[in-house]
Amino acid sequence: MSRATVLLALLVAGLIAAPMFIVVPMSFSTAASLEFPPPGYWLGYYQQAFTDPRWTRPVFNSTAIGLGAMVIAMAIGAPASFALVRYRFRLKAWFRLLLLLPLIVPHIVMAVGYYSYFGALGLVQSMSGVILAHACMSTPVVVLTLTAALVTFDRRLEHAAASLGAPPLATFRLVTFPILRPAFIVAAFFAFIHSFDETVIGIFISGRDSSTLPRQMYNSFQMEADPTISAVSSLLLAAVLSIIGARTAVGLMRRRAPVRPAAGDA
Amino acid sequence: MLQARSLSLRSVIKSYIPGQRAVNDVSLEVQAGEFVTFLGPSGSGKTTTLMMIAGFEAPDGGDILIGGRKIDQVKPYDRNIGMVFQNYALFPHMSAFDNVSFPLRMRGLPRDDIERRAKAMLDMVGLGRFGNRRPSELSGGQQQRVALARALVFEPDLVLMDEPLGALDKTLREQMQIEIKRIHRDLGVTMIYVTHDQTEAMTMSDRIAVFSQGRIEQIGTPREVYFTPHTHFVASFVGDSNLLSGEMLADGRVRLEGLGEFAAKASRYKSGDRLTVLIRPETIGIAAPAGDNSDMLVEDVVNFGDNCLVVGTVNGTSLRVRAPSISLPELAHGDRCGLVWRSEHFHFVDKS
Repeated sequence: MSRATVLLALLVAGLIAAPMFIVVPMSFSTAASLEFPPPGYWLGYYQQAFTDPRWTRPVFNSTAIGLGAMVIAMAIGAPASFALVRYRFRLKAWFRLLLLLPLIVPHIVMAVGYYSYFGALGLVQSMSGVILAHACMSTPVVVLTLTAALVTFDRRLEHAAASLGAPPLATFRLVTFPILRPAFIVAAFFAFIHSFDETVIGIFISGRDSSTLPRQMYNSFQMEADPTISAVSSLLLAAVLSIIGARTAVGLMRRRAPVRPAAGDA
Repeated sequence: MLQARSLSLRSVIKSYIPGQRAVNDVSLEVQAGEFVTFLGPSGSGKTTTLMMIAGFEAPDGGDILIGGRKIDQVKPYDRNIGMVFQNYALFPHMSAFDNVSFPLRMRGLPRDDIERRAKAMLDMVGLGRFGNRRPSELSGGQQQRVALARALVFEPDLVLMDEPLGALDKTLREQMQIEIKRIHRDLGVTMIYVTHDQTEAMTMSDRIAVFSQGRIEQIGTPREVYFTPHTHFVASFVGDSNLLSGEMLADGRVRLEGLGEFAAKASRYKSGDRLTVLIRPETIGIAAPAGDNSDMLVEDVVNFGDNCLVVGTVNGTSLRVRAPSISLPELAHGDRCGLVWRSEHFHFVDKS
């Protein structure tokens, strides 16, 4: 690689990474509002992020909503994925489209829809309303992840289990699920993140008490430019990076682990 | 010793597309302890038939009986049938031991029993030391043995094998053929073996059922199927063959393209009937050229080491001759040679 390409690569990488990491130095800043470069450094905003109920409450809400949405999205998305991959039925193409619709329709349109629909049901400003809406938004993510894994799953393994005396439920528990476990974990994780990250619907229908973290960050940014937001952002960034880091580390360790050679074949 | 059971198929029918039968009126009686091979090209219905016996496909008509008992309403997991799949279908997340003990655990046997029987079965297929390995840590042949052990360990009424040796190389395949035959002999279990490889069918089976277009064309011992095929398809699919067209003459003689007229015992046919004559390449001998039009013009000689395939034409009719290399003169493209044959080695098949 020539020096010019390396330079170009660094420039592009910098452009992509800089906005993500600029919050980190700001989070240690002593400035009373968002300001770069920081005039001095302290840990006060981290203390605030962990103690101020204006921040701890949304973190709790978002986590609870994310988990709830994840459970519902998996409960809908997993059986739907099996149906899509394994069975032939009427209107299957429409069924698939319906499942993926929340991914295609603009969030703001969905948000307006939920606002009026949940309003009639008395679910606006409630945690369960946000959980239901987010479950809908996360279902396509689950379906996309699981169908991709399912098409490569060899059904002869299930036939083998059946021929060996395993009824359908035992087959799922002992064969299908353990083999597809990584896909289930990834799907659930994506469903959670998708909800945790979702802003528009959160702003529209979560109330003061059920405020999600993105909603609180948006409000705080709009109203007071409270630098605690940068501390919270840095924490989120650290969380994501550590998850990716852990995955990579596990992968590396597996590759290093010696696999006994299958010697002495006959 | 396993409890061997008989298998009966009675007018079994399966169609996936309306009006098109994947399995068309298949009937078959397999004796307890018998080794029967379903032989046929892909799409001939042999695997579909196997899947119906296993219970993974439901027949559209007819009955399947195991040990005289109808199994239409019996779920696959209650049929007590051992199955070996082409790609082995071993559970990748379990060790060889866990794979083999799976059917025993499903049957809720005491742990000591499970341990003892799974170990004994792994020993029987020569993998006693490999019990704690995952399938991915075993070679193809070893995986095949685990699959075999898993299908046999629970003493099934019937063992089905779907092209089990298809993925192995030639040497290993021959080894496994002998191994499977040994297991069949030792355990006395009824086995149904599906393959498109006619050599495999010949070497292993008590009887062969030749499938074509959803039907059984013929069922018989390897020798019957090889030397006295009932149809043109069986004659051409099983073994190497010359299929020449001929005509029955008035005096009980047959006129054959290329080879001329000869006396034949073909009382089934009357004068003027058109028929096909099967001549196995190894039943013709090569001799010194006679110098007349009964000689063969050699086109090609394929040397297999122990024997040679001589391809040529007699009076414009192409003919394949297989002879032991040691008794064969040096022949090359363009040479002429004489032919020796005996008409009692010829077999008559209806003109298709």
